[in-house]
Amino acid sequence: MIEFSLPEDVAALEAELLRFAEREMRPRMRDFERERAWPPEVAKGLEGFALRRLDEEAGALAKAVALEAIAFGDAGGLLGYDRPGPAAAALTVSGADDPDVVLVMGERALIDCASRARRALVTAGDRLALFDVSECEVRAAHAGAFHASDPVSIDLARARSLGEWPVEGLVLRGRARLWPSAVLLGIARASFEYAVAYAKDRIVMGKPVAHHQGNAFAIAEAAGDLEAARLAVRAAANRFDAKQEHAGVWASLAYLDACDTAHSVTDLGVQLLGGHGYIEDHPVEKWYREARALSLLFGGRDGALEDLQDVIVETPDPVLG
Amino acid sequence: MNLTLDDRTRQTLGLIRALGASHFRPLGLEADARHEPLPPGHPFFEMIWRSGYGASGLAADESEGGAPSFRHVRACVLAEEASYWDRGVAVSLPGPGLGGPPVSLMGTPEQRERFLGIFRDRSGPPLWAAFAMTEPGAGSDVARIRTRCRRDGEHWVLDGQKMFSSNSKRASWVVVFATVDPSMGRAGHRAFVVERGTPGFEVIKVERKMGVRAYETCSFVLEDCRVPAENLLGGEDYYASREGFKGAMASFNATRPIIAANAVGIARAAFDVAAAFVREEYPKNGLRRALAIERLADMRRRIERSRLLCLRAAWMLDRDEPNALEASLAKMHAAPAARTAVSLALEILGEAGVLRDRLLEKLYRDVKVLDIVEGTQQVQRVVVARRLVGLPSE
Repeated sequence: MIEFSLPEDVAALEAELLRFAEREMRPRMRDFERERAWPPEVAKGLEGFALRRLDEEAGALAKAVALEAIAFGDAGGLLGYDRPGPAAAALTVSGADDPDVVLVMGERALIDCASRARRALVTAGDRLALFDVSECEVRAAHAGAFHASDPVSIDLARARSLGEWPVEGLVLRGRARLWPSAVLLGIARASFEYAVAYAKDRIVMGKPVAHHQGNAFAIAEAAGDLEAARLAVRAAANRFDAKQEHAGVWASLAYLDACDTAHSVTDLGVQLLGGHGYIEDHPVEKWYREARALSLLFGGRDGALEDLQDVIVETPDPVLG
Repeated sequence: MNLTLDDRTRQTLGLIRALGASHFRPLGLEADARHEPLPPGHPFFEMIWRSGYGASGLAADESEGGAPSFRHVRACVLAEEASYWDRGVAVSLPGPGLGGPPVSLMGTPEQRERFLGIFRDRSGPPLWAAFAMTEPGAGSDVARIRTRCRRDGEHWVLDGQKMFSSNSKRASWVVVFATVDPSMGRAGHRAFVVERGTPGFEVIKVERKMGVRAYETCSFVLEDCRVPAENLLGGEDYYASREGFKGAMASFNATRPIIAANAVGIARAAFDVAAAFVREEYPKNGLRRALAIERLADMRRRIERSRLLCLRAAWMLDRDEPNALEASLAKMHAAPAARTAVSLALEILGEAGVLRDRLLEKLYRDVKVLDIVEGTQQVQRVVVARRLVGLPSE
């Protein structure tokens, strides 16, 4: 039976996290960015929501909903805070018990990740490898975003292999892609709501910015894109929870939706504010940077498309069969 | 959240799938080639009428007794599948068609039984119904309709002209929107059921169209057309305040997701053609294949997103939740998404798409109408912007 309501506990979690994110995170996100970390009280506040265990205990949909809500407040520190985060499924496969791990998609000698870690899980094709990166050279990254996660580059030259496992690559990476997808939606929603409120208030040429047809139509289109991407990401997460066979395909497709939507919506956010959108007096420039940066991590769009190469033609329709 | 179909819907889906392959698709191609709609006496209509299937995916829900109601999620799913096989044939099917939702949503219980109940009895010949809002001078701006209605004793008298009305030439009745006074704008709107044979009702033209040729798109005139007072949908009280126009809008909230679902069906059909072409005729590696895969992925994303928007809008309506915004979002998104999907499929087939594969080229013509009917994408943007940012009417 078709049903779009969130389970009651997930809806309650979303509401509580949104309150926390708006009250405790959004007003101070510039400070977090400057200080390159979320302060202890934010981390402590989030502990109450058991974010790190949510995936395992409540499922992929609950985790996606929670991540979107937090990112609505501030996504900047999420990559550093939420360990193992996107690596959770891979960590289970590896049997490693150290959650201080980053997930890397694709073969690389130098990994750029949004925070320090002791372990790196690297997945390409139908393979997963675990490396000890605690003794690797680490350089602070001059990243364009996610400063509050203290981003770094790690040279894998001295990484010690801790094992390698065969995996269903698309399933594992599709599940992981739900993480950036949900965060991208939170970023996009934040930008959209802020920019629309501004555009309704700011008068240009005798009427609100939002009432000029070019802007009104762009806002309508962005609203549709955002809602469609949210439904796609949640549907994909739901398919993992329902243990559906092709969940990795739909999660990877939803990830592409989330990337493209976050780009276009955060771009519109800056555009609606005009010059004000480009300066740090308003947060839309931060969300614009974050959307671009996050959609490059975890293999980016190209990695997802590469994963879909062999399956997109044959995967059956997820609803009608 | 749950995106699995119930057994009954799946069963009906199987029926449409079988009929689609055996009849919808070939008949649609035939009507397209002949540039003529399927005639009402076509044996296919008799066969499908006897099978119990409704029309346009708006399958009458006959299991609950009484007047048929419209379960909107189910209608969306079935509309998508019917359109997958041929949207033109789907619209041509006997049943209440787009006339169903306004009667269902605005009509009194007696009217619902009188007008929708006739579709339960399948022992006679196939029956159709229709809907008419658009006029030569009022398309997107439905508040500007000029077809007049005035009360005269136990009748209402209608005068005016309607166009772009599907199946009205063969319909047993047509829901016609008219106004008591054009200067009243939307507050003056009234909806009537005009029955076949009513003096003064005359179909004057069946349009020649770029696509979706299997069904008739008609223009008709109403000249001193006397309609019994009991055919005013909802009765006099319904039109206190702005209920008449709200009724039309409520009808759109039900039909826009259906039209959007039609678009999803066409996009799916295009995907399947393109995927088969890649499977059978593309090299297994290389740049061309990579480009095709990206296009196929793009198509699947458009299909998935659009379908979710349709189903969500319909699901809200089934729960009696206001869904005007969601219905417009679905329509705004799905129609252009489907057009792009068909275009991407044509890119994949290249010249074979227009020279060898007649279906895909037809789909490209068919799909465009969905970006126009039930409110163009510009209208949907206006509706969405009004709700999100208070875009003023003037």
